[in-house]
Amino acid sequence: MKTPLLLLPLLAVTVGLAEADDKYAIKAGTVLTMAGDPITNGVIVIEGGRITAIGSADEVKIPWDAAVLDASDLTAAPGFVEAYTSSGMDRPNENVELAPYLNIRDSIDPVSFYFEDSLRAGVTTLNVQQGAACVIGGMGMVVQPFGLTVEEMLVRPNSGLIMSAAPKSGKSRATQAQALREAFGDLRRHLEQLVQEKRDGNDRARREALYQGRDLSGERGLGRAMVSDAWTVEGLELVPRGEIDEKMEPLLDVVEGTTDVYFYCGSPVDVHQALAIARDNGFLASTTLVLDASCWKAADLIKEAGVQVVLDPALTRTERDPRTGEEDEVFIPGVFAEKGITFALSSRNTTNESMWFQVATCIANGMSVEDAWAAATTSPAAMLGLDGRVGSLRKGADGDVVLYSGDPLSISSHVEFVVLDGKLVYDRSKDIRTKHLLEGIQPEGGSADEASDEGDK
Amino acid sequence: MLATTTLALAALLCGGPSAGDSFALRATRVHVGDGTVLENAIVLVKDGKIVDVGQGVAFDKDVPLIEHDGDLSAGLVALRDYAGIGAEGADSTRAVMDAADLRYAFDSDHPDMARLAESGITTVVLAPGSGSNVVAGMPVVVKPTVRVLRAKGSLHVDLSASGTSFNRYPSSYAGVLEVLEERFAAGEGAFGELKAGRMTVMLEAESRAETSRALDFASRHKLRGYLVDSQRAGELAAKVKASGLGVAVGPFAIGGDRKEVESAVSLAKAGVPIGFALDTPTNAPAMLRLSAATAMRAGLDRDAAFKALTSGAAALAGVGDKVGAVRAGMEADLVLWTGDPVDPTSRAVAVYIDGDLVHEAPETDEEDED
Amino acid sequence: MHLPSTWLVSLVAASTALAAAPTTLSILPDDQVTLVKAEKVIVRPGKTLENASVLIVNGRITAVGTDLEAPEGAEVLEGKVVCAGFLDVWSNLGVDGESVADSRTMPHCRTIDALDPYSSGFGREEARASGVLAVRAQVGSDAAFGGFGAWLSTGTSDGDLPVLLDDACQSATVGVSAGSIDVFDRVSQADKVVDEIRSGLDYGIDWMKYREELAAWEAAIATAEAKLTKDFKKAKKDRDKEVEEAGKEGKEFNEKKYKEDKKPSAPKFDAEKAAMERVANGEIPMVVTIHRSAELRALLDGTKQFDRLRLVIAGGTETLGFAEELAGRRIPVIVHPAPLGASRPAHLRDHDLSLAAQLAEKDVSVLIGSGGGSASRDLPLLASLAIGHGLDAEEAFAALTTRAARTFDVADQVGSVQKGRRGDLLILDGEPLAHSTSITHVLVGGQVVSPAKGGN
Repeated sequence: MKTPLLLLPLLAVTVGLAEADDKYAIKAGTVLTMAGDPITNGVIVIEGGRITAIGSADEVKIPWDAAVLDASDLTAAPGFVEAYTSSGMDRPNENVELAPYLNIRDSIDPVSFYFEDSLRAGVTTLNVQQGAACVIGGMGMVVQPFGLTVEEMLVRPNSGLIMSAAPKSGKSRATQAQALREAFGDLRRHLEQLVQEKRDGNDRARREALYQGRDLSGERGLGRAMVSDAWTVEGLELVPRGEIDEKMEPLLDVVEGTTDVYFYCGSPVDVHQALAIARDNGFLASTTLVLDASCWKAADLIKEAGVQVVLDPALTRTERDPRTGEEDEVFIPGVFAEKGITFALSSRNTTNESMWFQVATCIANGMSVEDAWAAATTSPAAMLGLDGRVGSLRKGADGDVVLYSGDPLSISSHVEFVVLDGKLVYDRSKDIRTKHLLEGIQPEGGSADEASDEGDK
Repeated sequence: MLATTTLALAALLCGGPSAGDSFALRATRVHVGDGTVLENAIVLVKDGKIVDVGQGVAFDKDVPLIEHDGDLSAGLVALRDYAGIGAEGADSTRAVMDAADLRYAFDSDHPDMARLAESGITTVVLAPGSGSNVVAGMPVVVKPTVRVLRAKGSLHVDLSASGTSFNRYPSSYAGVLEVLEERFAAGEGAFGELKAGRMTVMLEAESRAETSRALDFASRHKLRGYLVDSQRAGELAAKVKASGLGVAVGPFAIGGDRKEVESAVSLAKAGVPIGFALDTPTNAPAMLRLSAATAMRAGLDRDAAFKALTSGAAALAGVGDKVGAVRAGMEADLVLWTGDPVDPTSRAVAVYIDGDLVHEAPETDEEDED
Repeated sequence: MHLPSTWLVSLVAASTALAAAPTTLSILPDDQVTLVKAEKVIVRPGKTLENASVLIVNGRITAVGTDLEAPEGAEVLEGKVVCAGFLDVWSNLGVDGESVADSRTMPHCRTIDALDPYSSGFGREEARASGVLAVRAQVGSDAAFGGFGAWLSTGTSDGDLPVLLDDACQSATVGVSAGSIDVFDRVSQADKVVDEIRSGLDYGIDWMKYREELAAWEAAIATAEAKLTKDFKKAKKDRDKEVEEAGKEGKEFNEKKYKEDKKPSAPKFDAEKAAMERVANGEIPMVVTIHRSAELRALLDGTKQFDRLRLVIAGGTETLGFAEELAGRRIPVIVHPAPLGASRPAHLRDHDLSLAAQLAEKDVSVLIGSGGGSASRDLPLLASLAIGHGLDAEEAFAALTTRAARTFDVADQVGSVQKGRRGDLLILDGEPLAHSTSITHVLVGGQVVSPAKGGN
């Protein structure tokens, strides 16, 4: 049987799955932990997918039944964490402008090259969201870039809804803002109507829920008073949660602060709009802004609001003053760092925008090594609610380790191995696609072989 | 609030004194043109020419005297315009049209001409239409609705990107310069006249780099004349001054680019002679004075603005010895205004060209008939 | 939303003209105080004070009079003439360009959603330098319905864009967009505006009816419940008897008598209609950009039915023929007296710079606007052109100040030099709109923003 071409890449990178007892140990020349000083001649022990011990070789004992990866000439580091990405799907954007009821688990494509490339670039945790060409989009999830199914990739479900203050195509700022406001206005009116109906003894909502086949058992059949920092609808406890229109319920979770929000801003003006909407509807505390490069101008406002931000891959921005013709270059992370705003770097996994390059650029522009690394590891991990689980190597963290051939920030280094949850998922020596690029070797097996036999190279 | 003008009955009936007659105009303020303003001065006109100007001018009893409560000045001069030209003014088929004489390309009866006269504009330099030529032709200096004042006096040369064309030679700057150098070297026709200083140039250049190149070109061939369309020439004011060329600035659209206006002011302050382009019918004739007003708001001196509308522009157009000032010997192109001509609140109430009344503003309800 | 902001200083008001006692006022140490002295203070068109001063505390005018003394620590400015900053009633300065050009805005869109304080502020800087200190900004300027407009101050610096009044008015355009060549199209656009206002009015009436019905129903319920509580036993006995009787007759018992009457249901919320309701009941004015006679006739006829409507016409190229009606119905006209060349859009074919003068002569309330964008800085120049074509200078000045402010409900903040207004002033060396006059100082909110360069 010919192996289907699509499965080849996955098979190519999957090597040496761990033994059934799930014990894995890594010996590395240097270990960058992001939780303390670097360790020389370090050992990391992973059991059941979590790091159980980490330290120098003389401190840590390797279990006798652990599989060992001898990387004594390599550098181990935590995988990079992408706080927001909309790649990894066949089409990131929805036409429907208000779609909070969608969930990304239905559109992530596990075999997308994007995830494979993530491994090559040392990114081990990604918050995949729908694209920002929407008014309100669907629910995202945090995944690892390895697995045959979305469930296998899952790290944390329901990471948050994506919203955009930047106008969707066909809209202007005025109409986009009006659409956002209307979405929450409609939610409020819908809830008020439900409460009123309950008070009137009208069971229309219940009949509709049953007709639509919604689950009204258990918790879904119970009502809860509305808890919010902004507006509330009195009497919502009368309404079983399952009877709330499923298209609007995700927004209620947002207003009640139980769902996080990633708010995209395409320009500094959008920041004003996003923060206003978040404040007016009580979800400022659970909002993270995803910024375009131009938004640095609104840094003061962001500081005042106390929100965290995800930056655009473009770290510098040059603007020309139309009056004087003078050009001004701004190092964007520097602006945020100076104002004390927590930010996460972001990449698109191309060679010149990869996370390691982002970190290196920050250092080149004067940021400290710790701060630059943090912006690609621990800060985004905290934003995703995975503080201590990913982004750093410490006891109790997920067993996600990336092994580099040298200093991770050096251009001549590359990722040699990636271990996820204590399983080796990437081995560069067996990475067929890389070999194909560097050495001109054809992929093995299947029709590609026959094609090459026909001498088309 | 139009100032009242009392006209002699004969003037009303005959549409003004005819060219062979004499008449005198007395106005509250006469803007002579060199910066002086004479109070209650008289301008004596005979056979279409100004014979005397002053406060104590003597004239025969039978010479009609027209009293004007307001200002009097020479008619205004626009350094580039397209009134009456239409689509036939542009011929892009050949790069060099040095023999094209605009005298034969405009319609003197076109209503745009009358509109110019009504606004007090008595001299315009009609330019070849905006086709893509390296040399589009010879502009003509015209007195709207009356006659041609000077033909074959200047040559249009385009050293901007609009002179190139992708489907004929030259299609690059280098090609443009090659063509021109060739023509200048041969020195025939208009090019010879230019070299000899008997013709002036209307030199088109847009960007700063093009302007700089055009100035070098002009210096190389010792050309006289003025730049047009150079919106940033003010940034090269010293170089422009050194070249001896003048600059036709504007027109400055309402709400338009401020830097263009500032450039014009810089030029004037550096001592570069300036005048205003008008470009009707795309723009309204009112834009001539409005451009001057806009320049004044950006810092241009009142007298410099007035000069750019009259004598200064006339000199650049090569007709400074004939029009543009109220002086004995000049042609009688005069305008009666309700106030200072550079003030946008004033209007033209009567316009004379060659001593003929070509326009008179209709009386409003406010005016009293004596 | 329509209230001025509070200020901290209490003072004894200065008297005008023949003042007796000097002013006393209490100023706190952190207050920003400015005293502006002038040979002539133009309080508003028709009212001037000789050798007077204006006291500004924390951005607001607290006193205007002839006997004011400079408090300690106050900044003192002197000049020949002081007047209120100019107001541009037809602008989109400070608004994101895409939103201005958006042709799909709707009545419930708001200009304040599209403010862009980060856009290069030099349009506003130039406007300030020319004396234009506040503008009525509008998105969807060519859309059928532009939504809510807003009044903005031109601010003190690039990033500063204070809102003076949000949701200040509504906007519509008739016969202006590219698809309006046909006179039937244009008239139907006018009809559409009338219909929208009508739907707003009806919506308001529906809601009012609903509230009345709800109140009546609640009263009925209360009475019924009171009755029931009073004599529950009797009521129960009556009911049992009726059930029995019904059973005997073989009929179904009609419970209705004892059940609550059907509760009136609220009309469905409609943001668009809610917006238009505010226009229909006269809460905010409606600016309609409209030029030609056919549609003007349709609009004027169609809007006669709304006695609370505050209509404002913008453009109005052919309004002269309707001058009497406009004057009688107190419909102001915003003119845009810019000189146009030969190639002009069809609706501006008869554009005439003397329109302002001719309308004013027929007692129509005339306002002057710049038409938007960076043209705000040329507003005084446009006013000069209107004057040059017959408009009385004082009328022009009023159009740029008090009349503009009163028409759009911002007279409590801008448009005159009076107590309580913003410290938005111009210090000039001559009459405000005279060509030879230069502005020596511009104050926005009491702050000097430019010793203005260049001429007026």
